[in-house]
Amino acid sequence: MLRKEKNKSYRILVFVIGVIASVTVLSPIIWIILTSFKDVKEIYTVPLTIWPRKFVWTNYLTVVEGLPEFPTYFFNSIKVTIGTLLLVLPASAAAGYALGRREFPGKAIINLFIIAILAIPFLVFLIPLYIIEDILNMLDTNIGLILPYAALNLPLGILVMQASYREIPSELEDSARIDGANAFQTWFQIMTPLVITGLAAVTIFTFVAVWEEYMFARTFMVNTSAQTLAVGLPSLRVESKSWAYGTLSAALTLSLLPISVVFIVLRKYFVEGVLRGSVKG
Amino acid sequence: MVKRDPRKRNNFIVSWLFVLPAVLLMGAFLLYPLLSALRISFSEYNFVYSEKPVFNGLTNYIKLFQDPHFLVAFKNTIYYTLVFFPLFMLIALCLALLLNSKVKGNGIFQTAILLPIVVPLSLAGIMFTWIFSQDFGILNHLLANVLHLPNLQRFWLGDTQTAMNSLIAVGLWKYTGFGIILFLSGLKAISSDIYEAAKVDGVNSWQNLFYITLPNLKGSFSLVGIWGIIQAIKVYDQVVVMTNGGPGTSTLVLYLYAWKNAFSFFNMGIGEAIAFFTAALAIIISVVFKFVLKPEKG
Repeated sequence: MLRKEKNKSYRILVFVIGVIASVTVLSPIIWIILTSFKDVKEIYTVPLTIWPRKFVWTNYLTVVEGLPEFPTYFFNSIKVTIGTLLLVLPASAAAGYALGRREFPGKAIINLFIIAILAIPFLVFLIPLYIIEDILNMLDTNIGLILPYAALNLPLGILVMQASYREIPSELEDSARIDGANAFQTWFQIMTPLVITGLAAVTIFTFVAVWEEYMFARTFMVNTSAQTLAVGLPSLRVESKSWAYGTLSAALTLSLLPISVVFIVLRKYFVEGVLRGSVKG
Repeated sequence: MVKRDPRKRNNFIVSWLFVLPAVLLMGAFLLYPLLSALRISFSEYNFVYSEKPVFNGLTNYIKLFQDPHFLVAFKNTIYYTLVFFPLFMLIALCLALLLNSKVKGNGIFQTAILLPIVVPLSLAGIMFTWIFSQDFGILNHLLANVLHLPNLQRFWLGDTQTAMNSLIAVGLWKYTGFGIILFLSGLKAISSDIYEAAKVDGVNSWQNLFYITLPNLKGSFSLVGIWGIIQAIKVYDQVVVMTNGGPGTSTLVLYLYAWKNAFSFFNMGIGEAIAFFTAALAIIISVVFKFVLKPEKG
């Protein structure tokens, strides 16, 4: 009886702390969302109001109608993210399969290289990649971000896929081979449908990494027409005409929406995937 | 030898076809740049004036340690790490221990606490610039009008005393949730049999924590610790957006100083030397951490 009582009060305590922690963490985002619905005058009135006196859509209209850069940034982010995924997913699945389930000369070196790359901060690659892109005229193009992003996200992707393929019992592969399936069919038709969880994990962490990447995008994409949200929105602040927090908070809210939806849907795979593939910053 | 046996040769070709796309991408955009980066770090290379990098040995690295700005950037990065890291570990561990129980709303709490990991740090930078702003910032408003502590009001990002700590707060906001999730999965991996056995022996909750839970979390400590330290050493995004190194050089960090050398002064050699210095720092700390927290083998 005593133990139960104690348990109950402990649970209430945990619940309360959970609520406090969640609200604290979410409060900056909530504050930005509330601000985005305020009239510009209200935003710059002291003392500040937390809850909008009246909800208005003006800031969102300004973003949609008066901020031609915003859709450009938005679609650049989408294009770069999808382009990177289209390279990373098949390449990491194919390489992960061969490294996880086949023996061949050169395998050890590739594995060693992947582990070594994971230990090196991305800053090291920034300058040479800039010089290469300058020579190849890839600066200020979507592909100029897609290719380096794909390469930088591949090592972790390959590790995750390698671990996923390794978990499949080898009887499946053997029986496919006996049935006369070739290596490619075995990989694509028999094995890959069983590693959807791994692919989902690679998808979400690549998505997150690309959507938020700042340093490379800032360095390689100087022209507004090629910039992504992570780089474009902070630069809007500098241009005096758009420097009003009403507009900016509406733009922020809109740009956090897609990634939050992807995250909430795929959260489970995100955690699982990062744990499987060790951790990379 | 490989080529004699047709079956072995076949396996070799098929396996390499599988890894080829990944190898080509990583070769062109990671391996080649890595070698090129090494060469640049040992060269005099001004991107505007030099035709090509000219080998100058260790000159860049020697110059670094005579450059007062570099030493400031190094010191600031260490400061950031020394404040960020203990707070990150402590908050992450405590919240993970609390959330590791079947409480209503646990899934929602975890989602909420982890959400900042998907908020781009540069956008978080905009949000917090405004939250910390002097006149219309919500933080100063709350301090003065809700908590009635007007003395604590600050010009958070404009004051050398508080600018760096404000950037650390943004880093903690962004990354702590992830630390919690990593710890939680470590906690879930501890077999419940151990706790059952302890219960039979009449062990109390604190003994549980110090003699069972924490020692079994060694692996997680090393994982979360290395990850956290690397996030601190590579701090960059929110610094650029919020202070760009200022006021003065009070928030100049290694990543930012490397970037400025390379892309404001076009001094690629020095920039790359700072990059390798930072990489060495990250790798050495990770290795030490791993060594100290080596899980004992049975």
